[in-house]
Amino acid sequence: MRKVSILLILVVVLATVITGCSGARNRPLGWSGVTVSGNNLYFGTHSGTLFSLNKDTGTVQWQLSLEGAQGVYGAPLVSGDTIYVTTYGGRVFAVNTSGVLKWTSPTTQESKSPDAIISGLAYSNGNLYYGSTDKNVYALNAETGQQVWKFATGDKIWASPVVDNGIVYIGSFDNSFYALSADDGHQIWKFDAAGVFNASPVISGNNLIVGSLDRNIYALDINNGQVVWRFEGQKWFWADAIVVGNNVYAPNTDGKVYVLNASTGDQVASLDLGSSIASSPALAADQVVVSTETGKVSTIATSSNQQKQISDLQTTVRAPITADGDIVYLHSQTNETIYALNAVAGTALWQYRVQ
Amino acid sequence: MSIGDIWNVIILDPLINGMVWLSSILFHNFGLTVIVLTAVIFGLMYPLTIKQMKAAKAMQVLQPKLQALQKKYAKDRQRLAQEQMALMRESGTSATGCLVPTLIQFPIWLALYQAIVRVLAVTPEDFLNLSGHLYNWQVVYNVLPLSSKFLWIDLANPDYVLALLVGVAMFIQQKMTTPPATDPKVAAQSQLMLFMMPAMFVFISITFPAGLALYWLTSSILRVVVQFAATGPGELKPWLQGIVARFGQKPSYQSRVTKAEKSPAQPAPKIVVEQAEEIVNEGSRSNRADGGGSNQPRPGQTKGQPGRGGDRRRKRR
Repeated sequence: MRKVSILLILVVVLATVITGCSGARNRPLGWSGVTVSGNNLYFGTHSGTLFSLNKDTGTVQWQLSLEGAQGVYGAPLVSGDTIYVTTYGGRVFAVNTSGVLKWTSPTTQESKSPDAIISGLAYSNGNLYYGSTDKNVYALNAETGQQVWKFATGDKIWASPVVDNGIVYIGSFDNSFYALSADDGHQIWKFDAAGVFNASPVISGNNLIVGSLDRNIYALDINNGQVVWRFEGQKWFWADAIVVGNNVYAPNTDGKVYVLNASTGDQVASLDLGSSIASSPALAADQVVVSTETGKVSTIATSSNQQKQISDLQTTVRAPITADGDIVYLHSQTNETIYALNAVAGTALWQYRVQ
Repeated sequence: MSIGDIWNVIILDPLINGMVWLSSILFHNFGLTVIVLTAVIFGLMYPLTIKQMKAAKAMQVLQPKLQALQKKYAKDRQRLAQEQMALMRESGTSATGCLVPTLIQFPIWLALYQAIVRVLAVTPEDFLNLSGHLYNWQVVYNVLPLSSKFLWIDLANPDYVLALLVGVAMFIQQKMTTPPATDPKVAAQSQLMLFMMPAMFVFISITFPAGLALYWLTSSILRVVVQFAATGPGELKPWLQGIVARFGQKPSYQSRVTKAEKSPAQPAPKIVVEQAEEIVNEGSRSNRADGGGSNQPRPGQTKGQPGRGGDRRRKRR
């Protein structure tokens, strides 16, 4: 029996070591960005709850548990008196500003096991747009949640769409970036890269700038998807870029923010923040605020491209940063907490830890 | 540099990038990648595997002597340890001979599990974690993310069929290497081990991504092949003979007619039983270093009374 006991112990140790102590498989948590509307902040939590906080004090206004949601990745979208949010459980929820559910899509009766949604939402002309891990881009009627159209890509979609001038722009894991008609979903053009698109595009003049996991950030002609310029980083362009004036600020998982000329793609500066950047930056008081995955928050002065670390939250930050005037809001992934920081002084105004 | 960093730099990162690179030349097929990688790891560990098989065989041969020592020095633990050490030293075996290759496999399993979870990331968190492990090779950036589909299996998630196959392959492997035991206590223990190990791996396989189960299945099949080439079917032989006797020899019309006319007491099964007994007896003889000539009586046998195998041996002579 001794051998059996040793064997049992070995197997238990093996299972514990492999799954527990070392790089165990993560369950989806989510990294919902924070959305500011009026006097309120809205965000989704790891447990799939939609929260409303007072933006000045961080006190909870209301919270609503989203049925079947495991986590929320996309930032809630506010249009009029309705908050829309996607969930990893595969549904889109419409909730009024008092926290009362208006509709879900698909409804519980319609779908037994909907595919997860990582993408956030875009709104235009009465419709909502998002991508799904079931490989489709969807358009929903914002009033009813009914599907208006869907467009099939070759692989899952994690990126959030951007709608501009009646066109939906969205990247897919099939290495393609699509321009679709917002009205009926027909394809206007498609651009094929060597890698996956996870980031959302930013529009700068006649160019559409979007990063790919093939290590390139591309400027595409908005009319036909032709490459105007491309710039190669060392690792993934996972987070969204931001355009200020004629400069593109493009964070990379190599830990650098590349400052590029928006017209030519020439490198203006390269600022090393020391560790991977997955969080999309925001513009607050003429400064680009960016956080590393390890929670080191820095500002980059847009006038001089001088970098300054303003805070070290010592937590994982992957959610996009939201700016409201001089104030920035960050949603941390470990010890799920919302931080309100003054971007100029770097002082913490308040923080709320999700229970 | 922390232990985690050292682990990543020396083990995990090369494995992840190697797997991604291998996928790029294996038609972007991660299942094929796991199989080829398993074969490569098996090839690298071949000398150790052979050593482990030889050590296991030698331990089997020593088992009766060790048991005899246990009985002899049951009340003197220190003397027992000394005698056991001396016996092992004389025969050139080591208790760690079997254990070391298994211990070496632990970090491989660990690294492979981590690599599979990261390369076949299901959640965005897992996929994002992969970024920090990637080398500056263009091919790595062009190939990712890899498809987790292989045959009917989603390698990123547990698969029940694959888990059962792992259990079957491990059982065959265990059966080939489990020595026959005359001592009922040892026999019961052997039987427990025979079923326990495969059952454990079936359980682990249904909780882990199928990519790791595919590694275990391929690894077990390779071990069965090598074991067969090195030592033959071992304890699987009676089973194989039983299967052949049951399914392999289809009775002719004449024999069926004869069989139907005869009484229920058939001679054919008796032959099979006798053959099996002979194999078991020969197996136990070979396991007893003294060729079965020990003075220790076997169960159901009084001291000085020869066993059936002994009788038959004398008859043959």
